[in-house]
Amino acid sequence: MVWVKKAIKLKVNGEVKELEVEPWKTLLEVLREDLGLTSVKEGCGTGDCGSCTVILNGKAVNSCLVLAVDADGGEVLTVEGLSDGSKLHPLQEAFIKYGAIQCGFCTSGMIMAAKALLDENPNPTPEEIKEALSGNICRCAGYSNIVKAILAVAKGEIK
Amino acid sequence: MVGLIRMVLKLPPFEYFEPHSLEQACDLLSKYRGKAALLAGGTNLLVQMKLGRRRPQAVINLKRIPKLSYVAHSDEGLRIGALTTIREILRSTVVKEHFTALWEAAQVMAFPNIRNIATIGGNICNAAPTADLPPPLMALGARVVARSSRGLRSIALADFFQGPNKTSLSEDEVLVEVFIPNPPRNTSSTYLKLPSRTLEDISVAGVAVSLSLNGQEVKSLRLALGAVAPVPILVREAEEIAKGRRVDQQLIDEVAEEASRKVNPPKSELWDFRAPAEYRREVVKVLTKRALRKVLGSLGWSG
Amino acid sequence: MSNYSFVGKPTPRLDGAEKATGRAVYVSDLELPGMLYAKILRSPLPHARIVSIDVSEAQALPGVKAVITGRDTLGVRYGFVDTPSLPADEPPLAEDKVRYVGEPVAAVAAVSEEIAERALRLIKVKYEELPAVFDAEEAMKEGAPKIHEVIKPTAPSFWQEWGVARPSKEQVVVNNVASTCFVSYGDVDKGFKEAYLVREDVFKTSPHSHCCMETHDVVASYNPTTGFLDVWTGHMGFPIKQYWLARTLGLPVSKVRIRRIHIGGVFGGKIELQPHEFIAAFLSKKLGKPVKIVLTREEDLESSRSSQHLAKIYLKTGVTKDGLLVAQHAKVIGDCGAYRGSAPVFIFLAHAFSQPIYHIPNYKYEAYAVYTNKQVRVPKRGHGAPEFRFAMESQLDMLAEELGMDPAEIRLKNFRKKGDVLPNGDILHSCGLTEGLQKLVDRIKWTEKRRKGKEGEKAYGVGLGVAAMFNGAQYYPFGSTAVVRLNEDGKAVVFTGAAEFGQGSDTLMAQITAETLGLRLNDVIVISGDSVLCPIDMHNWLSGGTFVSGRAVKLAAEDAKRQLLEVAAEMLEASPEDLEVKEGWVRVKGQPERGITVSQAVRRHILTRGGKQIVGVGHTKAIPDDPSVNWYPSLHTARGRFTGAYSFTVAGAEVEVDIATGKVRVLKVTVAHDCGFPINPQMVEAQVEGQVAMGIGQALFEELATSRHGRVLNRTLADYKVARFTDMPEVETVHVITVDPNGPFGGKEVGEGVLGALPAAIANAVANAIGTWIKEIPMRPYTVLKAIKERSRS
Repeated sequence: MVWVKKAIKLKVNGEVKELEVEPWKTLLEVLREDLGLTSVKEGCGTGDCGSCTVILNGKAVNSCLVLAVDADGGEVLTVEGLSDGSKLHPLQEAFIKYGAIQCGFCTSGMIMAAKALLDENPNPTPEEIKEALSGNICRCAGYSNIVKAILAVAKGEIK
Repeated sequence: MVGLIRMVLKLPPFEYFEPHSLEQACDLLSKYRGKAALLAGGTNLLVQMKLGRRRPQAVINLKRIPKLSYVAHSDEGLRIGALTTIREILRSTVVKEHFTALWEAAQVMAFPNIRNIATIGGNICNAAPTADLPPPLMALGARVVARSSRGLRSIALADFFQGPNKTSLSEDEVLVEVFIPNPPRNTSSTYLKLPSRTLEDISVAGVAVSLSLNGQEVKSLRLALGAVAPVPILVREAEEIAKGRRVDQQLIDEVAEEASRKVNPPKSELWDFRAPAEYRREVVKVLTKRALRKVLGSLGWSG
Repeated sequence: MSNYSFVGKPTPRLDGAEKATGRAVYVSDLELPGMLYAKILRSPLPHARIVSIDVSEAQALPGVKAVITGRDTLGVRYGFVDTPSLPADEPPLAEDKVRYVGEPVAAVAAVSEEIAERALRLIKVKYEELPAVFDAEEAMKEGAPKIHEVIKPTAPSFWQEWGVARPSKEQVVVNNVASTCFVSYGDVDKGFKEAYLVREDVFKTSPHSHCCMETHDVVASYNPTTGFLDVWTGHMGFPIKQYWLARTLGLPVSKVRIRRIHIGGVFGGKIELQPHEFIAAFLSKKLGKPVKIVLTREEDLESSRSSQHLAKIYLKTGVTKDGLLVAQHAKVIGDCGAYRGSAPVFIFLAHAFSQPIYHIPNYKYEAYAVYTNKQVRVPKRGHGAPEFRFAMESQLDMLAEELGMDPAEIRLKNFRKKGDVLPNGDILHSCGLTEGLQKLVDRIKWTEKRRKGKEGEKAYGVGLGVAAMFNGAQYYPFGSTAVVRLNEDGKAVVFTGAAEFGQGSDTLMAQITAETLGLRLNDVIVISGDSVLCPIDMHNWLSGGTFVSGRAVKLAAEDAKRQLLEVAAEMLEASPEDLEVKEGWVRVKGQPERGITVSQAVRRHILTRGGKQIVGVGHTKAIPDDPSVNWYPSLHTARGRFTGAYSFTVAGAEVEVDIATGKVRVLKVTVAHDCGFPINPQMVEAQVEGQVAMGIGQALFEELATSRHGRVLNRTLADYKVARFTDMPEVETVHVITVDPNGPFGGKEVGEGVLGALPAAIANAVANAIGTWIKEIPMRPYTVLKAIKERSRS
């Protein structure tokens, strides 16, 4: 058997990254370990918790279940790409303002899932928000505050 | 190694291929003789690999092969490419309105992130006894098209499942398309699943029904069950009982009873933990009645 | 009261921006130079003798730096409980036998996780399987497999180190009983004879998982040149981890540094020293390099700690014709798991949390913690309260029904009141039970909802649950100390041992400090949870964070304020009593034009007092109303003071039951929570909602199921179900403000009491809907359906 690394090109948070990765590396591992984007968290590794949610080619996906080589040529967005820390993205502001963050471990995944939702459906109902984020677990359960935060952004209350 | 706890969620190493044509894919499958796995969405395969249940020597990514993802409707019926994602299926108004059971199953089969990349072909070929798409597809009379170096082959889905995670595909075959014939006029279909916690991804009982009426009589009834046996099953007895019968509560009860008799889950502690057989038997009856009332309701029946 | 600037106001947490931008660093994000990765080989069998272990092939694998087994850690013991009569019983790596599936047997440190995992597969272990037992009552019987026989202390206990005269003695374990708790007062036999109505019921509960989004993980880094061991791990207070690491590794306590890091949830599951932490630290000390261990979710669910397990609760209760409780005899069988864990504590707490709620004149409580070949049990939020309340509150409703009384009425009749002195000497300085229930019943339209009945295939019900929770407890011999330092730029730095693990402790301490000192909120910097920088705190378990740690911070801020006002008084030519501080300005009351900034006063202090900085120190013990109390209560007899204050929760749950499938949906939960005074209302509501989610989980679908081979059947998140967005009901919080005289600003806990009341409320609501009680939780759909069918048959 031959273990060969494959060269891939990913656009991550707007920047093109050229990497050499083993085919069995997941997008989660490559983002965290090769690119230092530790906002992407591993909560289960089996696609059940949503902590690793990133936006790949415009869709919310569990990065633990995507091979990095499979994402070759694609575009990835993580929480680090939403703001450089000086001016926060409206979703980030809203999560803070509405108390939607406790331990914070699920937060990056939640924010990315929320962004993917709003990008497709800029004016969701609370039910639609709950359904779209049903794959994201928050054990500290900021659920209702998360919904409030997303609604506030959708309604333009936080820009 | 039986009993060793799986302690790492890293994928084991494998050889990786991205064929650009079905010929290439089939060639690779022949070469690896059962030791290769096909990668579609990856949401089943990668989990199984991480949990140590599958360890393929090679992984063949089908997604660089063009023209395997489509939803095409014609006078004959609906053709869905095997790599069509669940998300794309949910966006199809044709599926929602005319092949409703499939659409409803797509809604409840998994969480949104999974639906974004999981495919219909992957769900069918993984052949989990608890899979959500097979029962509605079987109730709708679907057939699948498989391709190998020997050519194409069409298989009725009702004959496709051989056992848990086992299909009648041979080692070198790739599923390429799902075909569903257009239902006759006056047909309504639905898929109901338990637990009905929305978007639960492991079913404990799934009931799919496709009912065609001829006035007040049943023209045809197809009923399929998931998560209650080692494979999804088409309840042919229900079809026989219902054909030509006048629609009434008694018929509904008889069909529900018949469906319940087919419940025979594998004897396993995990299955029992999710729900004991007697419970599945009971709720299959309930879901069948509800499914029938639902389709009858949309067909205008108000008995 | 409403003149507070920060206290009592919803305040966004201070670490929100860090977390929302992904900058917050958690243990698994840490990368240190030269770091190694370790993996643990775990037992596949529930009970077996280890015949041999061959690690030679593993050691030879390139990239492997060390392989250790129980031979390398012989004699090391630790435990949640370690007393002279209950010496620590858990080894980090199995020595002569394994006692649960998942018990660590060997560990490998390597340059990558992949190599470590490959090395695990090369370790050859020969086991001789022994009969196992998974049921606590079965384990207590004669002839049951002996899980432990004699537990020998291998080091002096903590108590002995602190001058408690008794040396540890070996514990001879009989019938797998790890510990017991017996309490009685009054005369139960007489009480039952006098009772008008007596009920006997048996309840069952299941163990569940903390299931924090961050699994258990640790980075340990020993520096041989300084002798310091740095540890980054999840915790609820550093003293216990620091002490046990020091003791088991032979290091001075002061050189074990538990470091500050963001923590992805704890819920009680990360309090005590755990195998992976010891293993990482041991390997690091051996190799002189940082070692990281991250548990997978499967490991976390199956082989890591589970919650408390009150396997069976036998409850016999007698009431008068008017519904007054007159006698109770409770027998609790606690399932310990393979090592003692916190079982001796939770069988005691089931009783202790019950005491403050109802007055029961004749009472007998007997509890047994029994070893079984399953995961080790540790506290999970509520630690015995949710389970015991479920039993008692359900039975209370049954008694009420037989008497023809309303469940709210029977509770009001028996509730304790402010000023009550409990049988163990605790005093209810504040008690919001009656007010809470009255407010709740009003808010949820109780009587109307009780009668709602059925609509087609759906039945509706509403039910009550009541719980009480400690506000911290004695952690002999420590109390809580805090330090506040005023810097020359007018900002304050608070050093507190109180741990921030997501619940908002840092923000709370900032609010308390800002309010007390008169600063702006963002003028306060909180340094918490670092064992070298922060003074000892009595830990945040048993919900002491607000009441105890918060009080220490307040006292420290007051001390700093005194020093500040002294120098400011000189500058303003006034006396300290005439001054007030607000938003960073010290002004003369009534003459706002006479003022200076805090910064100016601090500089003046430095200039005029030989360069001395203003440093305030505050110290408090858990039980402030009686300074003579030094001691833990006895776990065996429950004698002694437990806590300085109790919080109370009355919860009302509204449910919809699908009577054809048994599926329960919780529609609304209303919580009347007496937390004294809500220092941060936004955080109070967040804590309430979090507990509602866990309560629904515990009541309806969370359980760790064991196979006949001792494996956890549902060890992935696909099968271990926790509440998601789509499970959440409407949640309403009714604040019951009782202003405890000893709480900072009157504040008490809010982290656990609500969960205590939830499963009970949901169980009673389901009973109201389907007309019969289900005596086990979780109430899975098939359990509910079975009960519905049995009821319709009878």
